[in-house]
Amino acid sequence: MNHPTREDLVAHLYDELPPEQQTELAAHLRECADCQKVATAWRGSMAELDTWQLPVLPARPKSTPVLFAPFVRWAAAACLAAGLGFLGGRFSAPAPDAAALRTALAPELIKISAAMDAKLAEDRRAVTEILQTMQTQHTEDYASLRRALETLALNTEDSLETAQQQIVQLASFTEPGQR
Amino acid sequence: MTDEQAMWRVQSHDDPEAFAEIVRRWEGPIRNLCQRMTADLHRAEDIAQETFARLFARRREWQPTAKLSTYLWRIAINLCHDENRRRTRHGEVPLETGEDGESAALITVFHPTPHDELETEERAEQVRAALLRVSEPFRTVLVLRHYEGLKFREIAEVLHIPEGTVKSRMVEGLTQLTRLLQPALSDSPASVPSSEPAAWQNHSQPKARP
Repeated sequence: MNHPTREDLVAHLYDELPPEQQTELAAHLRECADCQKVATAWRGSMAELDTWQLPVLPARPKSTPVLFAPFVRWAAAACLAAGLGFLGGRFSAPAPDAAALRTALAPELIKISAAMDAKLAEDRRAVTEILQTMQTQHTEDYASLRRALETLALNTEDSLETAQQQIVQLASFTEPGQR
Repeated sequence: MTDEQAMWRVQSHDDPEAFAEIVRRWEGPIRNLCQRMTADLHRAEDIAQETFARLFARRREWQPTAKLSTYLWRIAINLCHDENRRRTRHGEVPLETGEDGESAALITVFHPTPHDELETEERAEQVRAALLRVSEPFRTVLVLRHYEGLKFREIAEVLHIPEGTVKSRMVEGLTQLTRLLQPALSDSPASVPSSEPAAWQNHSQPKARP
C-alpha cells in the first residue's frame, strides 16, 4: 500500500487537494491505521487551535474624517436652526396685501426711476465728452507726427543730395602729378 | 471599489478616503494575525498600526498588478517577526521549541473545571502558550492557514517561498503543536495517539512508501 506524503495529508485535512485525490486519500485513511492515527492527532490539534478565539472588536463605523467632524456638526446645527426660524416666520406671519403695497410704493419707485434715468443721462454725456476730447487729441497728435515725419524726410533728402554731390566730386578728382 | 482600486488611488492621488477605507477593511484581520503571532493584544494593536503606517509610507513601491492583501500580510508578518526577535533577545517570551521539539517543556496538563467557561478559557490559554513555542516559520504558516484562512498557494506568495515548502512547514508546525499539546489532548474525551506512527517519524521520508 502506498502511503500519501505528509504534505498531501495536511492538504487533505484543509481540503486543498483536487476532488479526485481528496476521495482517494479519504479511502486510504479508512484502511490504513498508521495514516489514520496521524490524521486523528492532527485533527485534534486543529480542533484545539479553534478553542483560542479572539474577542470580536466592534468595527469602526465609516464616518466623516475626525478633522472635519466638529465643523460638520456645528454647520448642520446652524442650518437646522436657520431653517426652523425661516419656516416659523413664514408660517406665523400674516400674508401681505400685494395691491396696497404696490400702491404705497409706486410714487417712491417713480422717483427712484427718474433719478436713475437722470444719472444715466449725465454719465452718458460725460462719457461722450471724454471720447470727443480723446478724438481731438488723437487728431492733433497725428498731425504733429505727420509734420515731424515730413520734416525728417526733407532733411534726409537734402542730406542724400549733398552726399551724392560729394561722391561725384570724389569720383572726378584726379591727383595733380598724373596730369 | 476593490482593495487594489483603493490602493491605486492612495498611490497616485494620496487619497485619504481611499486609505481610510483600506484601513477599515483590513485593520481587524491584520490585528488578529498580529495577536496570533505575538500572543499579546496591545503589541498586536501597535504592530497593526505600524503596518498601515508602513503601507502608506511605501505606497509608491506597491505594484498595481499585485494583490494588496499579499502586500499587507507580508508587511505585518515581517513586523511580527521583528517584534518577536526583539522580545526573545530581551527574554520576554519563552524559547521556541526546536525542530525535534525537545528544547521546550510540554504544556501543562489540562485540568477540567466544573465551569465550562473557565475550562474553555484555560484550553485557549494552553493553545496560545503552545503556539508561541512553535518555531516562528512554522507558526507563521499555521496562523495564516488555520486562523486567517489563506490557501497554501497564497501563503507561498506572501512568504516568497514555494508552495511545497509551505506544506512542509505546515506539517512541521502541526507536528510540533501536537507534541506540545499532547497531555491535554490525551486527557480530552476524543483521545488521540500519544505519538506518531514510526512510519511518520522520519522527516526525510520519500514521497511514497510501500
